[in-house]
Amino acid sequence: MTGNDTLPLLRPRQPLGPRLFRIGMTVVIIVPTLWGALGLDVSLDRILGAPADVWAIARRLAEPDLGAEAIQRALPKVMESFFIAWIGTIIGAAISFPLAFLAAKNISSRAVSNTTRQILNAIRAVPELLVAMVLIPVTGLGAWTGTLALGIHSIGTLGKLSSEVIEGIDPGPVEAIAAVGGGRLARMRFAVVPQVMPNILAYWLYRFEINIRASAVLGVVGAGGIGLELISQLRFRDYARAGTVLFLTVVAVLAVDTLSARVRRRIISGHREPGPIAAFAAAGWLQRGIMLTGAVATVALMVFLAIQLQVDVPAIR
Amino acid sequence: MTTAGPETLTRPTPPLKTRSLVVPFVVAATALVAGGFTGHLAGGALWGAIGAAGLIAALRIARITVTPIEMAVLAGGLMASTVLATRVVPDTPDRIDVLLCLGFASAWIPAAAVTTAVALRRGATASGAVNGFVLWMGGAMVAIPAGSTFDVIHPVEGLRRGQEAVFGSGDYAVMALAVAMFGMGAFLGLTAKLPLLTSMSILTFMTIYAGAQVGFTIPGLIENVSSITKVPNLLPPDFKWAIGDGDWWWVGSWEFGSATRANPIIETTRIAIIATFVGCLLSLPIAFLASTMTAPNRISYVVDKGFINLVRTVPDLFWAMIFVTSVGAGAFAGTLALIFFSLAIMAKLLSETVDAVDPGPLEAARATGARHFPAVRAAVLPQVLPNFVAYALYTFEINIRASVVLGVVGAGGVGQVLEAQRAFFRFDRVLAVVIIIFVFVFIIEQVSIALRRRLV
Repeated sequence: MTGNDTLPLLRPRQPLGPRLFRIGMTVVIIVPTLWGALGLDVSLDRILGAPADVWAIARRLAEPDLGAEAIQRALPKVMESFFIAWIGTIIGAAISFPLAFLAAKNISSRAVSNTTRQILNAIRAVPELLVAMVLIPVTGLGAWTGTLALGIHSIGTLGKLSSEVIEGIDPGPVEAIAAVGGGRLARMRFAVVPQVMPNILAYWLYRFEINIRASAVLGVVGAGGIGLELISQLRFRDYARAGTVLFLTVVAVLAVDTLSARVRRRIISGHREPGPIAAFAAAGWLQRGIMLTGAVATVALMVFLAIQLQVDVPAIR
Repeated sequence: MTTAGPETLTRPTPPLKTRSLVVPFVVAATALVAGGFTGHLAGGALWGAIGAAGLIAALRIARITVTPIEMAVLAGGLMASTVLATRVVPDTPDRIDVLLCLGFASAWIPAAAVTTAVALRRGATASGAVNGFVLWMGGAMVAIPAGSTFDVIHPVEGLRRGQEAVFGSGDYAVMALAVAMFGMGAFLGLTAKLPLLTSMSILTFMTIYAGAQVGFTIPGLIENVSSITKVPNLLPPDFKWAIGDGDWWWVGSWEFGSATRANPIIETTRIAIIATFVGCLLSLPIAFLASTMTAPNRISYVVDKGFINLVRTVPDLFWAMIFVTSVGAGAFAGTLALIFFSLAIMAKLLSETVDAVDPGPLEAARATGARHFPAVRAAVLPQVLPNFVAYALYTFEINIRASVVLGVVGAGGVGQVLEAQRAFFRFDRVLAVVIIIFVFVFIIEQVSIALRRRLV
């Protein structure tokens, strides 16, 4: 017999629904992309030439001017960005904290929580830079405008994240406090806040990391910080100086990120992490090498910056 | 039964809480600051004596017992430091520089050394002792810049204005504030094993310092509240100009106010869409290389992770500036910047998801003899695809918000209109455009959030 006559393996046809979904999704993705690409009026040689152009600039930016004068110009501005981010985060945290309770569905009534939620959404929709632009005619050019802009935007994001944390609490403690006759405030204070505080604190720190980047940019519209320095150096085609700004910004952001990530881990996990010395003693040889290199590099960088700042500076302000 | 009388019931001392340490800390810090006002008397010895008295009173209030020897050592160390501090700072410093700050910091080494030694004797860990010492030094390091920021010390400016530029008692008091907030906080936190107190005092000081730098002070706030009278500059928003003759939202070639260039809002949308598409496509391989689960080898993992972190460290608008400088102003630069930025965000989110996938299918695929990348494609990709779509929509939201500001640095989109009007000080027009942008972003965001909820 010809029992070995195997039928050609046929894939069963997929049912119509998923196929239509697939085709639909493809159209939904491809059509807007084509629409977008066709309207931007970018020629092929520009796309092909872009890597070379970017490389040419990147190479010059990678050789920052680390002379005393350049550091003295840029470092105080980086510090200003840092301070703007710090105060902006504090403003955002302080105002968003009560708002988060109002926006949480399990705490407030439906009407209140929906209204607060929409207000927070609305605040979030305006980027910091636009808030700063609108504020400039009112509060003037300077760091204070940037701080307010960051603070306002942070209210929106922090309020949303915190209210989501509050919505995720275990209702047991709240009921327990209510059962012993605790009022509304007592329930918040002793049942809700202890549960949500670690997560909310971690979000505040996370927002601080984001705000550092945002405040670095704010200077572009004159709202204080390092941004103005970068854009003016790039406009003057002084790439070495622009490289200084980028270098210092990256260092500051990395430092804040590393520290804040460590603190956040500690807050969320709730137990003490080994200190630097204990961690060093516990690490393997490779990790010890990395830690040692990092520590030496950090100290060397700080000493270097201190030396550069020391030369001919009237006041650290 | 004969019993030797009831034993006196001693209540066990309750463990210290951070809250109960606040008063002692305030006492210690206040004493050091108040002592600062006597900084120029008796060569600073009086300052040290007052500070030491405050510190010992604080320990007493916190019910931390110290032996007389420890007490003497603490007082001696503090007095040595204050005497040195008044010696190090010249009467008329002609400038405030790092050397002066370093000198001032090293004056506090005796105080830091004795407090650290006492803390160690009372069971502080080695790491804690190092931290405590470093904090003393850090507080002393920022003391002089802080004093100058709080507008108490102005040697150079003071000389120029004909004021007396001698370091006075008030200057020592302000510098003592910095030292106390770091050093006293560290010492009390260490001896009571409550690091929260130290962190709180440092954070409070940092906030005061940062606030003074950016104008978040009480006089600054009053001044800024009064600036509310300048709000009429913005009003009314010039919608008439912004909307033009009413056909603004469907005509392709229209600019706010004139019909010369592409509609900036449409251009913004185009930039965001393309950047999301290309960024998401490129992020796939990069995300797979950045997860230990799917990276083919360690080197590519480290290189890729470093790349992602580097891109994420630089703010998005900085990328836009770099691209504007290298490929010229316009939407192309903005698109490249956003591609770069969304690629990093996507890769980070996606690689974290890949880290958490079920390794079973991957092992199964490997067991059939599949090579690395086909195995990843068949076993891991389907698992992360729903998250990929959700992240793509999220990235699109971020890109829309980022693309409206790109124009501020000349990278295309609606921000260019804003920048132009800002340069002409037409803030009423700026406000009108910002409101239009707000409505536009708000609608897109709500649609995207609704879609994400459906998909995942």
